[in-house]
Amino acid sequence: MADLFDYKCPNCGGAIEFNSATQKMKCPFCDSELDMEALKSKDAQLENIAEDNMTWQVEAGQEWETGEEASMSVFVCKSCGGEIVGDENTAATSCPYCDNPVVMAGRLSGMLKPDFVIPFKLDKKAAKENLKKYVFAKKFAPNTFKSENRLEEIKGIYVPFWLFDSDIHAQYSFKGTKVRTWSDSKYRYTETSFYHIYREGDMAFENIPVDGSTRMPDDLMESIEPFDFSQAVDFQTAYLAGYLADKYDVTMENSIDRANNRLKATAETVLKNTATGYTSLTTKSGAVQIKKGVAKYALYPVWILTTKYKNEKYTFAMNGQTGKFIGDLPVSKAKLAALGSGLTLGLTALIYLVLFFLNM
Amino acid sequence: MIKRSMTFLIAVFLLFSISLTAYAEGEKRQFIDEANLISSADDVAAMEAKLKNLSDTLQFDIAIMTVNDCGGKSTMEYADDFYDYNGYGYGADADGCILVVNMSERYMWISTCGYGITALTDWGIQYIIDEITPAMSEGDYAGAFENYADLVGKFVNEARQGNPYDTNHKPRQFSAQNLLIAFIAAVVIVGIIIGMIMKSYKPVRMQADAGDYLIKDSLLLGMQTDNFLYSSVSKVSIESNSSSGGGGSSTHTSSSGSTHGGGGGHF
Repeated sequence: MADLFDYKCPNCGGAIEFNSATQKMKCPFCDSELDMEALKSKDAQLENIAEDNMTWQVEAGQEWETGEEASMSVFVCKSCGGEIVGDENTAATSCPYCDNPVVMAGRLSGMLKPDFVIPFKLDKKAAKENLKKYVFAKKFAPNTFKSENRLEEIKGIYVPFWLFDSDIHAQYSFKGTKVRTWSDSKYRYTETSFYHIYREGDMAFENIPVDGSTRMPDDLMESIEPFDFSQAVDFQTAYLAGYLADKYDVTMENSIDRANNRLKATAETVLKNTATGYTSLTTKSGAVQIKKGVAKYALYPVWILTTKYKNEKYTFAMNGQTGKFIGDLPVSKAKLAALGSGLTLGLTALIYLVLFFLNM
Repeated sequence: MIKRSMTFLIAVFLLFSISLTAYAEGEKRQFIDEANLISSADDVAAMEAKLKNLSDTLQFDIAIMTVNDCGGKSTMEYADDFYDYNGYGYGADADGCILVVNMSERYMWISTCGYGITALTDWGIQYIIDEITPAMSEGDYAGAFENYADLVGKFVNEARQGNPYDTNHKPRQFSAQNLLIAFIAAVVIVGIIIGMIMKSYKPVRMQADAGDYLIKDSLLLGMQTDNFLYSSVSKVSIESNSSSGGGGSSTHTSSSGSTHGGGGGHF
């Protein structure tokens, strides 16, 4: 006895019937014709896409050796509550988050020891150079902003990151179209063919970074990516000398979601790119299962400068390893208005002349 | 002594008769102002001279006639008939045009003949009528007539270049509408540019994916299926290009059997 299936037409959703004349499935509502096999395998695939399964193993964090913790001090900002860590010889004076003064609060305790660190490759001089180049390239930044910048205040901070390695298995299904056009003397024809595409594959990721400090803005940290982990070394407190470090206060569990989202997005893109030859592709559904996941804890070098302008806080960051510089800048309304009106006048004249000579 | 004065008299008489004959033959005037719209005789003479010069130069008859009424005929019929029965027009085709101003109806009509039909299309005639209507309405008849003569001359010259003014080829002039369009387009473009600049000043954003951290060559594809579902075809009829030419001229046959074009308007 044959299975009784209630197939839905992929085009209009109506109940599709077997048409004996064409020996295909035909939808009485929209006249689409489908192959039996195509429908059956589509169903089979939908059943096989399992749920997301994303659990991680934590191998992160070691124990401090005796005396290591004691040699580091914690500084606290009275204004925003931010905490930074420096070795016993570092004197921190202002808060990297809000630019207010900090005081030493005591010895370090209760902080996870990092597994790895990427040491600073670019020094303060390089950081100031990059900052100057970046700000001066933006012609529309207000003039007063450019001169008020206190370049000296730029600080080198080690920012804590959770790093995620994983091997994953991904399954995605897409809807694709191929469009073909041709014409004869009377008509222009457009044929759109619809496909159901399924891709499954394994891939591996390493060192996806997630910002482990609540006070360090996540989008700023992600904007200075990527960091090259091949230059990372095992952590020693000695690397902290002369620099500050941020205390981590985001647990690994809370960082996982961010890593998962980025992972899934890449898995979808990678699988989508294997479907070639289509005019358009849209994702219908997909799932990712983590076969092996490992989380590590590391410190990455960042040069950071916070400055205030018209009561708004502007933070700039430079990747201490690659030199990539980023930061939001205010736009001078006056300069923009000047450009705007000048351009409008010029363009109006130009377009009018074009219309005039085209004799419209 | 008598002989000398007789000779003198005969000479004068001959001269007079010659000019009279000349006058009789050249009865056809370019400017016939029966409605007396232009009061000064000097101005009338000046207008006559201008139209005559222009017509001779262009070998194209340009005439203006003003009447108090058209005696039952339509202004169009009146214009056509006056043109045909009074020998207007240069050459075998009677090239030329006449503007008739009918004061009782405050209506004017331009009638074209021969080459005039080519040089002044329906659009062209309407254009000229529109151009002189404001002056006619205000009573600046001299100004309107001067403008008419100049415009006809301009149109004839352009037509002789091979490309008469028509809907697809209009005389270049300042257009306030075009200026407005240009302004709006400029504002839109500048708006987009400013938007882009402002966006580039806020470049800090979260990363979309983890592409940088994908281990290269780690991708192992498993099952891949591409299933054809169905296809649909749509068609659009190809419209033949409507004539890219201009509007052209419509014509009619007058009472004398000749073909005239024309158009008119109130003022």
